[in-house]
Amino acid sequence: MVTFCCFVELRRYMLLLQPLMKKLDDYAILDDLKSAERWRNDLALSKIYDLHYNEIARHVFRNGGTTEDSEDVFQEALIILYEKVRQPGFVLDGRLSGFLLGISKNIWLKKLRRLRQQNQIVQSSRAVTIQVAEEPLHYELPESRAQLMKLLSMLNEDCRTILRLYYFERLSMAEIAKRMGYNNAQVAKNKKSRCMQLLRQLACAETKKRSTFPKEDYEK
Amino acid sequence: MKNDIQSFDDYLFQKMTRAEKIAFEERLSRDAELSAEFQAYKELVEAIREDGRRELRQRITAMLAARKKTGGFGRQFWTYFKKAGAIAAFFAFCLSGYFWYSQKPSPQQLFEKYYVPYPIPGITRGVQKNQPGWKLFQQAYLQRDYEKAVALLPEDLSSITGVQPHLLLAAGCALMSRGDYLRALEYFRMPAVANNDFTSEQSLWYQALCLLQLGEIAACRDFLTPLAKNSNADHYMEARYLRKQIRRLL
Repeated sequence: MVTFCCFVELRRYMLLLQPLMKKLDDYAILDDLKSAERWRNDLALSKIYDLHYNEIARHVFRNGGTTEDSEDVFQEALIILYEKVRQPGFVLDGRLSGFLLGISKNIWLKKLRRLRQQNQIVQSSRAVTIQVAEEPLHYELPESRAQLMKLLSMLNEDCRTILRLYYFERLSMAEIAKRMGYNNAQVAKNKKSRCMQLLRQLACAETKKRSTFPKEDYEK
Repeated sequence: MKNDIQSFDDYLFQKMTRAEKIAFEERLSRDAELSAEFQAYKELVEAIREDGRRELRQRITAMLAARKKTGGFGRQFWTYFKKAGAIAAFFAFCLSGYFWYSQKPSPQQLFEKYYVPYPIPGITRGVQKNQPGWKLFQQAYLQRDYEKAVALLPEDLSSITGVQPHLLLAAGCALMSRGDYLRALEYFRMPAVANNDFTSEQSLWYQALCLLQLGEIAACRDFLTPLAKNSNADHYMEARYLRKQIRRLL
């Protein structure tokens, strides 16, 4: 009887502590995601997949999506979370699961709206609608951005990585130096400035080239 | 130019103070060239971020693919059915517990579990010098030759006088071993045994076992109760357990 009472009490305390434990879990995941070390980022992504993918997938299935759709939505939600976490002053108000589910719902809703619009356009022109349903989720980049990304691919791998670490992952120069194996933060800073300068020069040259030649000739 | 890039970065990464931010925005609104340069810079940064997103997307895709490879059917099955599995396991556990509990032990099984022939204390051995019949009985009993021991017992109980109560208990046990429980009960109920301080609790215990074997479960429980309630009594623990188990037979 005493054992049973102890067990019941223990269970009651554990139930009380459960939300707190889950919240601590969320903080641990976000810490890993924010970390400058890549293996910790991967670990966090993997944990998020284990804990929250099913919930997102269930939402997508219930709203007429397929497994591929759910994976795409999950991917986009993770990217948004990754960027949000690295923004200065980011604070997670509720639970991570709720946050991710909210993002995923928005992404899926946007996709459904876009599909509906495309379906309407296609139906009005009496075209086959099946082709529309198989369109990828990722939206088209603006032409200028696509051009810039082409320029970015012309840079060497180190330059691209440094720029990505600084502008996308928002790491400090010390962290970049550590990750790239440089002696100190100043080296990383110089390297980043040089890479950015190079990219700007490439962009300037590209703009000049495009303004010199008519568009048709350039594309030929 | 270098300072401009630094201020562009500070503005984009929200590292400026409020005053610095206002000053920078004023500068942008005044200087059209700087504004154009800032727009171009923003475009470049956005392109770099898009590149980062693309790289991250590739990483996630690789992770998902690896998960699919390593996961397989077992993992998916576990993911979707773990709750159902847990509930099923719980019910299986409860069901097996119920079946285990509902399997009542027979009186015969309980008797075999708890019955041990009475060990005659060493101090009584060799005491019955004037009664050679009982001496022989004692020898046969100690040699576990219960058939011979029973054959040596007198037919008439009233003729038994001046015999050690330990030997009378042993006589009852010899009869129990031969399956004569009613006669054994008579020996255990003899005043010399039942009223003796050393043998009264043993007498109760063996009477309870005899009654158990005879199928008188309620009477057996009545005999066990005084033993189970007195922690100093002989056979205290056995009486407690046996009493618990025969409760299910009632």
